[in-house]
Amino acid sequence: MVFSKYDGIRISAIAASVPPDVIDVMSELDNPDPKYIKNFIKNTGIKEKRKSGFSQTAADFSFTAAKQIMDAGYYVPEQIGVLINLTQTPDYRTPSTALTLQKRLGLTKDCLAFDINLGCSGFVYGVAIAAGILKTSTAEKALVTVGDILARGRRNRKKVMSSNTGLLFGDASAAILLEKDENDGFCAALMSDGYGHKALSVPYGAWRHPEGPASIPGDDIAVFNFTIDEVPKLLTAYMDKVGSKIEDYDDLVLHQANMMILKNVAKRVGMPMEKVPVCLDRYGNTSGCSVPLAIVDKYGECGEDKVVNLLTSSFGVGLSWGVAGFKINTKDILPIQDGYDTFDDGYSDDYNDEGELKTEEEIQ
Amino acid sequence: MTDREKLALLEDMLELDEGDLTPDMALEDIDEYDSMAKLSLIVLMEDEFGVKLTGDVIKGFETVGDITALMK
Repeated sequence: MVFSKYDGIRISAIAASVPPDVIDVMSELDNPDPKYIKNFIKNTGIKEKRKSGFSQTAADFSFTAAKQIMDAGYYVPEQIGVLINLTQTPDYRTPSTALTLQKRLGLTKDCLAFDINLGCSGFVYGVAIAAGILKTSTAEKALVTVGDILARGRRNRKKVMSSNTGLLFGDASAAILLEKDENDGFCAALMSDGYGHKALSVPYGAWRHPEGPASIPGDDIAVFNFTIDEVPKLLTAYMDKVGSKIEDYDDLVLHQANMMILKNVAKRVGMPMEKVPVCLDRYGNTSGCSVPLAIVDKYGECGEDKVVNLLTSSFGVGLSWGVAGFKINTKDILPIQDGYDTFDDGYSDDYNDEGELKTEEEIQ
Repeated sequence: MTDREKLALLEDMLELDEGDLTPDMALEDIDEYDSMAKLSLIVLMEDEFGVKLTGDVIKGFETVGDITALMK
């Protein structure tokens, strides 16, 4: 593992935003097979989720969450020196969505902004990388946004490119503020395994294989074995390294993959399920956003002035996985916001099948 | 553990009635043995018998008896 200690850096606020539309899992299939749906709910724990419309992207929910933290007085645009956006569903091929978020949030040019292509492991990677940059730079505060819109298909000119994982995933984004604080600090441990890259992959639609299906089936068994073996091992190695015990933590916040994985990882590190926040029943698997969403879901409304000690782990596509342990005051965890923001970037969607802008006659 | 007890573990995992399974039953004929059941089987075999099932091993299972043969 790559272990990092970020003395003098703290996570100072967390927010999350979801689409307003609640989708009942039962309504997700055109011809619901009651037995399949019943088993799906039983095994995954997912009953509802949020799904965005085509007028919004993950960046819009990231914007809402980041602005919520700003509006609550935790930062002014001039203070942000780092903006990292983690997503598998960016707005554009290029530039990074972080650049448009920089503009939308009114951040200054004295800020480095870039995307990282990661999925479910995104939270821990994002806060660790942002903390590393903060620690070695003149920047005072960093924003990490992490989110995906995997519940809905990707639309091209001809059709909606639906995903075979559509039933599992929910749409959401989170924003996390980090800042320098000489009296605080946290640690993280990261790992990745490119030998398992085929276990979860979207190989088509980019440069090596431009044409092909929007998604291909993952290797469920390999991913499940990876998760219940490697994640508990890294959690244990992390606790050994920092000299902590599982009892020291108020919550074990895991990537909300499915209930079977949550229960098995928790069991293997000896954490009772009462101390494992669950939000996937109402939001589905929300990719890299799921750890902060679970934190916000549990503490966002409590408003108490109370410090909690959280052990978090996010894991997924790559394969990649990480652990971070940090303390945060629950008053700095903001309530979940329904996201209504959109972004008019001025680009047209009115192209014909030949890739040429439609004439006014074609549009009509 | 008797053969009957091993079958009972599988019946419980698949939420079947006691006595529903026999060793010679083909797994492809058991509706409840779906992709999620295979994940449950991984947990059952590791927790109860210390046996780690890989995807290749699971793909090789044809009958209920192929599974119980690994319950040692």
